[in-house]
Amino acid sequence: MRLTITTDPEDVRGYSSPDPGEGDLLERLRAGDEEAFACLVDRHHAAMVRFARGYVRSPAVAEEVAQDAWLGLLRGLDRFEGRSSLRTWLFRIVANRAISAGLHERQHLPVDDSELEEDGGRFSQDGWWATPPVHWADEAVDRMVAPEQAARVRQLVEELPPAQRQVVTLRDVEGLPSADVCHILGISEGNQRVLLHRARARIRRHPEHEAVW
Amino acid sequence: MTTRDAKPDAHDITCRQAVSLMTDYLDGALGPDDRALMEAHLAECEGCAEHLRQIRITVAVTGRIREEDLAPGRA
Repeated sequence: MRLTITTDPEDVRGYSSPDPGEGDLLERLRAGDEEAFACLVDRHHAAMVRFARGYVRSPAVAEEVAQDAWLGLLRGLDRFEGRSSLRTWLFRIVANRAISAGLHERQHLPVDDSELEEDGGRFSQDGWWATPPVHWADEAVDRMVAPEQAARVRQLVEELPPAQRQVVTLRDVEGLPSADVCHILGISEGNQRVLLHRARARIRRHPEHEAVW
Repeated sequence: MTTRDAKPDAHDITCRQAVSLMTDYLDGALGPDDRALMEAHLAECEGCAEHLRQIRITVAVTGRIREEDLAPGRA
């Protein structure tokens, strides 16, 4: 079975207003309403593909994983009790599918978390700044509107080790709360924060060295 | 670290410790004592205050990836 999932902006506009609530859409979906399904796809599909890219390198495989997750949603619809948000549940299905797809893909990025002591060389032995951060925060705020900047950050996120990329995608790109992210990824709060910390440090460090922000 | 009655000051934690606690701090995951230590340190250490501002900006710019994907004209 192949789902027809379109990301044509024209279609998005067709469903966007008025904005039906999630519970309403789920109820309609259970009754077999195809328009409700299309509406959910418009809402969540791009984020699911983005998240899947944290597990599999190939954009085509990530797309398949997301499509597969939609099938999983349809099959499991009766079991969904609404204890987590639909988005959290969808991400969890994506994570499970993406793990098995990643095993088949056999193209893992090197995981070198253990070597990563970001900012390690910048403190003295006593733990005070040896080389304090170059100031750029104030200037960067002015430049945040530049579209190139989001493109650069997108690139940096794509280059992160998989575990860091998964966490930062859910937390900082999708804006999910910590508890949901732990549930989706099946990791502890502490582990999640270590990965988030390293991911942010890597993204942050880049502009300081390149002095482009 | 401080004793119970002493007010925390900037030197109770090092810059390295402050940086290592920043994600927990932003998540509101520090206990009250650690948060007080962190805030005392940040109030007096310009290097760490700048680092925190940069992390906040990093988070904000990372969040823009999603807005970009939602913008019309991007498949």
